[in-house]
Amino acid sequence: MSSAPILEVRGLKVEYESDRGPVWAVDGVDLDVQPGEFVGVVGESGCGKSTMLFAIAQLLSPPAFITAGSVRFMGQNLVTMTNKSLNALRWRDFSVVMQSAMNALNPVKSIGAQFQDAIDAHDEHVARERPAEVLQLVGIDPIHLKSYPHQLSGGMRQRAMIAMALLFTPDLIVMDEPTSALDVVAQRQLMVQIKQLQKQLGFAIIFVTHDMSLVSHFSDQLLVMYAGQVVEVGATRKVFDSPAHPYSRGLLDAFPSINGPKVHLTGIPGAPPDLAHPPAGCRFNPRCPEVFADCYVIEPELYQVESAKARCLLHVQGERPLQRAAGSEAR
Amino acid sequence: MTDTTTNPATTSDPSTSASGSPLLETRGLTRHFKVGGNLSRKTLHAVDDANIIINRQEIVALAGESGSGKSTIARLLARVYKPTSGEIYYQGRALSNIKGRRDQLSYRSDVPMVFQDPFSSLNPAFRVSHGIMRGLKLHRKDIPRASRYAEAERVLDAVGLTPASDILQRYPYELSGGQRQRIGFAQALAYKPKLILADEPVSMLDVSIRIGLLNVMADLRSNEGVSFLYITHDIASARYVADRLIVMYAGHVVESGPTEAVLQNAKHPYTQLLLSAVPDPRAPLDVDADADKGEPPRVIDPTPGCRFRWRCPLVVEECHHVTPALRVLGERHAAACHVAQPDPEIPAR
Repeated sequence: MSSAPILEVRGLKVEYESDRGPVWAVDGVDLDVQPGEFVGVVGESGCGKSTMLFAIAQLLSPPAFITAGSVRFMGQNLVTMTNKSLNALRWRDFSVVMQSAMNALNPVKSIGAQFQDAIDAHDEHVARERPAEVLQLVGIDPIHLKSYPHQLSGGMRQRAMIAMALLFTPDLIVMDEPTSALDVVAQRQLMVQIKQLQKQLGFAIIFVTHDMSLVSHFSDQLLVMYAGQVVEVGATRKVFDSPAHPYSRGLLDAFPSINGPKVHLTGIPGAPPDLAHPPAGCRFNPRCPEVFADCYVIEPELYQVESAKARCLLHVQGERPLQRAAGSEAR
Repeated sequence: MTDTTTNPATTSDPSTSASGSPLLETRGLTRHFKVGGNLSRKTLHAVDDANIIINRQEIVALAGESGSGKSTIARLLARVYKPTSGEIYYQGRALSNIKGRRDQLSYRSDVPMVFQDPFSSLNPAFRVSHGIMRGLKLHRKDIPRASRYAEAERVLDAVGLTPASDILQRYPYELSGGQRQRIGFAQALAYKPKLILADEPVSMLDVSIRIGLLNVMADLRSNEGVSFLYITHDIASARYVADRLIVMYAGHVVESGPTEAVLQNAKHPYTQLLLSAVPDPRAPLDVDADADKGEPPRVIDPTPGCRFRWRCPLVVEECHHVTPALRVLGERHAAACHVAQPDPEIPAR
């Protein structure tokens, strides 16, 4: 896992123009994705996770703009690339699976015709059997190449979308909540299948979701986003076992478990901040259960906490004395 | 609103023994839909022979995957659909006998519905106060006009929206998804309901605010004495709020019982499948665990036999010919499976 990363995002900033002034939906995100890695990105609605994904894939449209930072994919900076050269990369080297795969398929074209569209657009010499092959990969009978989207169930449509993303065996697939419209059993099937395909074909995945429990067993690296910033990043197991940021802890405690004792849960009270006017200091301070005086003044950076990093003043090393130190680590 | 009528018929559902006559009961509730063109004779069996009981001040979760018929049941109870056969008894009275406008209104106000999508179920052109005040005007004749506003504030307080007077003046677009769904509950609460039909009320919301809504349901149950039919595909949230759990598959009730009993000791293979699909970060897991590849069955003109047989790991010959009926297998715990074994201490009846 220490070879050159396939994707390197540095200081990425995305701004939405609005009547109330600029809204920084993504504010300085760094991200490394190794070949074949599964990266989970979690956070509430409006934390900027989908915007970040669109920025990586260069799919933003006005009023959203990338204002700073770079996205280096296999050595090339996507941000400064022309549309034409981007089109050559898209789908062939990295592909995107959208959230509403239910609606992302063209209802008046058969699945096979839509596969052919993609192949034609890329001028690729793809074996004629390839569409049937990728459908089989995701567990759909190739007979459905002749089917129209309405003839498939929700889970099958999602898998057909993933099959399309696999057409040219890309190195990176970016997924924006691909399972959110499915029920638990179908969701579980799809996750296991994605993971198996990844093992088999070796592509890397960036998987965005608001359901932290969903990626718990599947991702290698976990990114927790809040108010446009990464607040915690580390190995998935590490973040789940000992979350360093109070927000990650809140997300983890937000859903009930089917095992263990029944406990009263509170979720995370309050709502994410208005990104046009984020709170001074730490952006999580209005909702944080462990807030102290410094949080309103000092903007935290990502501090090293064992093998992970967290954007929380509780984890400042050394020199500056904390006003409230003892017991703050207690869960 | 006293209920002195006792239920005439006995029932096979084990849950009645708990607390006298139920608030609402369905017997052999069935709903079929015609599918295909005008000349088609195909029927889709959305709900078949469902016997469900909801007691006073009880939260009953109805779980199952998409297409299992759980929303159809909610709509049957809300009288959006008429049953193909079977009957719904509300406080001992058959719904098909409720005909006059006054009685119909009174049933509607007793059993309101909360919808899945808080973004499309509120009229964007009106302030929050509009929906609540209309409900009060129509269904709460006991409240004089002058006190309606105070009552509207009270219901908003009850669902945790403060300051109520400020929220009442807002438009839906000024509210977050969680707040909007609370408005949905407040509107239902304004009717002074006995039973709220909540059709996937939290599935469109962020995980971090779902729990708040579930807590609202639990509070309304204890403070306002409301029962809930909580429809969901998320078993973990059902465990969090529900007293009793009913699992549906392909239009059939396949298992029902006290929530903990069903979860700790699931009898039906489908319930076991549902449980294994719940992502739980606290549990260790190997990714290679066999994933069930099955698709939900087609329930168009089904033949007799267990509808889960195509996906069932325990299938036996009998499953292909005989539709299993709900059998009592534990204390107030029943499952519709030929193979499931009863709890040792309770002899099968």
